[in-house]
Amino acid sequence: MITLRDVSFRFAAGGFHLQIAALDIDAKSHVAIAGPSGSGKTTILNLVAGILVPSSGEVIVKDCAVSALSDQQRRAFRLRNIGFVFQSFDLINYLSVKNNILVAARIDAKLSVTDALRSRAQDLAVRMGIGDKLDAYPSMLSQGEQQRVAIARALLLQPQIILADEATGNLDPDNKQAVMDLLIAEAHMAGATLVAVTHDYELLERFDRVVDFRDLLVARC
Amino acid sequence: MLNAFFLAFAYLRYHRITTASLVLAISLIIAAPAATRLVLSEAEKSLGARAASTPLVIGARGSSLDLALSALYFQGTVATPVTQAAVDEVWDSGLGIAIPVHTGFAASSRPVVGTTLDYFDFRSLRPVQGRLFAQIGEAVVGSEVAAGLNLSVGDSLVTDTSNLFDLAGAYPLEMTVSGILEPGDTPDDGAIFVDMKTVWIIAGIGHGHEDSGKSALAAGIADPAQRIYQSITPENVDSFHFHQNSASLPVSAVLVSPYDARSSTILQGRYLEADNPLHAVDPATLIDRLLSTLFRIGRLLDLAIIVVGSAAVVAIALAVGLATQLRRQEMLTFFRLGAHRGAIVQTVMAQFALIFLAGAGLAATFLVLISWLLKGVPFAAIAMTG
Amino acid sequence: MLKTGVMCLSILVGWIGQASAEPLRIHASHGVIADFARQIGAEHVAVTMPVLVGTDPAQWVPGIADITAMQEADLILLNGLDYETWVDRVSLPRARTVETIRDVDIDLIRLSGVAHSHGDGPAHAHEGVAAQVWMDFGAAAKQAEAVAMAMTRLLPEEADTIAGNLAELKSELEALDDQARFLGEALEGRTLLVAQPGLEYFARAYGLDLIEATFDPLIPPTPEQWAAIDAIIARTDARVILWQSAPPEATRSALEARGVITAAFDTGASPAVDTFFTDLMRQNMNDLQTALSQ
Repeated sequence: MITLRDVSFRFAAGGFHLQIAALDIDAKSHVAIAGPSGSGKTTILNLVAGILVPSSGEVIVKDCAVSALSDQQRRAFRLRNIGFVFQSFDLINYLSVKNNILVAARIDAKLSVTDALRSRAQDLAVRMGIGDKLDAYPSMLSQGEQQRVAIARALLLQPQIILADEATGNLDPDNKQAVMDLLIAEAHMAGATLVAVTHDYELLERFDRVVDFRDLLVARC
Repeated sequence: MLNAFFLAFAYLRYHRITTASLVLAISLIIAAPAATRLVLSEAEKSLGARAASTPLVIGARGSSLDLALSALYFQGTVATPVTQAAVDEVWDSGLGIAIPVHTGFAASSRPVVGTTLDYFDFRSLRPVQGRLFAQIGEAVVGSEVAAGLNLSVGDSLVTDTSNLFDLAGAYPLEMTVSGILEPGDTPDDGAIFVDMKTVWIIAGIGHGHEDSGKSALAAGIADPAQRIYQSITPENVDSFHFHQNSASLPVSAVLVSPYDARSSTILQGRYLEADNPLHAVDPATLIDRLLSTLFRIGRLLDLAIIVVGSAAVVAIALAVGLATQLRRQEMLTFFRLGAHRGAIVQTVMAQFALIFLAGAGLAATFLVLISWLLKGVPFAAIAMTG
Repeated sequence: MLKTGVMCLSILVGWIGQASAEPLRIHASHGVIADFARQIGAEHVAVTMPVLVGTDPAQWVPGIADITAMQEADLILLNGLDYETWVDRVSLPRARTVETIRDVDIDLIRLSGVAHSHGDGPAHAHEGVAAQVWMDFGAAAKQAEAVAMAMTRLLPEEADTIAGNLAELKSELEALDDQARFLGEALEGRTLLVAQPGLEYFARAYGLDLIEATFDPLIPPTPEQWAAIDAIIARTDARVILWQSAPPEATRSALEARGVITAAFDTGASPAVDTFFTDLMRQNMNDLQTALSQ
């Protein structure tokens, strides 16, 4: 499902260089990439999602060489195939919970908010335990609730790949466990491939496979 | 595109105060110059049309503007009246129709205008209810007077006393409404028209007496116990009379409609000499000059508005720029979620469009309101006091 | 073919326009002016005299409906000289009002103002200026000219017709003038009585010696009035009394008993039915001559 081969990445401004020889992730697998904070784990997720483009090497997702696509193609691929959960939740503060969940349908040129999508958003909210907060705004929610909204948002278009970047990084211990369990359960239910980046070693046992980030690196500076 | 408007609207609604401030600022930038133009246009319409329809005004030599404004718009009164002789002089010349106008009295704060029936032919005024005045004591009111005072045909209204101790003998006179004029969007709508003889009675120049009986008449003595009437009734109407020669009775101004261009030129020439106590004024020329001054002021106002408006636009641009900077994280989120490149641009453009439309809509509302308010503005009174 | 059709259509439209043109609506304050207006204006005018048949227009007071009707007329013809006592208290459009006496150059006759009463009525005197200027037929022609000028201003397209009709009327008035002068010459040195005022200008213009009896047209004379008449009869050769209409029978008999014959001499102001002014004046003078010959 996801393959990285001889990937080299450096920021244009310089100062950061990442080199990965190989990374293969099977479809429907739940993989955790563990490593210390600031080690570059998020960069891998961004390369997989097509947010960043490698200087050299290949990033293949669902048999598609994402690294070779144009910016617009990568965006479209990302929107339809990948659900991204961010550490800081990154909810849109002026949209209600319902509209935050539906936002993916509003930012694509070809999609629109249909009754089916509205219904799915409602179902997701209920499953996330925030069914009664559809009309609330992010500022009214706890951190745990906000992250649940972010998860529901990521799952709206039924992506086959879910990327979670330190999804529990800003949560308290109880919420951490609950949110991660929720994420894994949803990925399992959807038959999606889950790649979660975390520095929290207590959560690793939930995953099918744990990849130590240091083992991936060829070079990093 | 609809999604872009949805997101834009949601953003604006969430940031209500900022949005309202921007909308207000834009509406004022749009409305201010438009309002200036509207005021000037309304002034031009109000003053200009009336002046254009009045070929000549004859009055005592003095302020031409005061004369024109009093005679055409019934605002204020002339410093020095002329007499009925001035009216007769024009009739006798055979050069045009002369219509006397007497201003200065009021009833319920509406101007009472003394004139003749020729005025209504001159202005093409017709009653929409009732009829024109037929005899002394009757009044024809404009549509706004009727509406404002809730008057119908047959109702009474009393002239205002000019002062408590009116030694000249001007009595409050009770008049009967004989008719209501059709609305014409002119100063006539706000006036009360009476016959010249009626206005002279209000001035105390004419009066009626209770019948003293044949014995008093036979003796040739006026009974000191005779009562001066304050209302004209079918019983006492024949007793009203004037002790002055009609030629010496006062007239504020004479509206003249010359029969043709030649007559107009001759008439104007007759009043050119500086030692003639009367002068003839061409209202259209006079009002044109007044309006030119107004428009010059208008242009200065426009300049000021441009300067202030430009500053406001810069401030708005700065505010929007800062707001956009603050939304960088939101833009990044959209990007990371996979939003197409146009989505962000469209959302921002939709936001501008909504703010601008709201501002324009508010400006239009302001202008409609101003336009409605301008209808009652007495431009002539303002010009007179200015 | 097309050109002919258009021309015919234009003529037809013009004819229809002309046929359907409304006549000028004229209000006249007394019968003489009304007659002048009808003769001068012919089919182009519709003349109204609001005073009822038999009513003296000089005593008539218009009601509101009369005033309103006058205001709506295209032309209002007045006599002037306060003949219309109501003019000062009503509103008329000056642009459409003509005082026919205005340009008549004539010495005005002031009334003597002898106090008298009729029956039990109040004492009064006929004062001011005599207004029946038309009884001087030269002055009447001037009044007719004033009517014609006013009509021509309103109907310029009928100027020729109006001028022609005016000329015809003036010719008739000239003939009357000649007849009246002849009558006056015949009556030189004779005294006539006149029951009511109104013939002052006729008397002056044609040299008649008239003494006013101050009789009311309908109310029988008082004993004082009879005494005055007897005194006049005693000192003069007055044997004919001119009366504006037929006197009451008792009065006529009493006058006849005194050797005074009544002769009708209507000034024409009242709306006399079917008698045009010039015909009426001729009839007046004929009746007078008949009375004188008795």
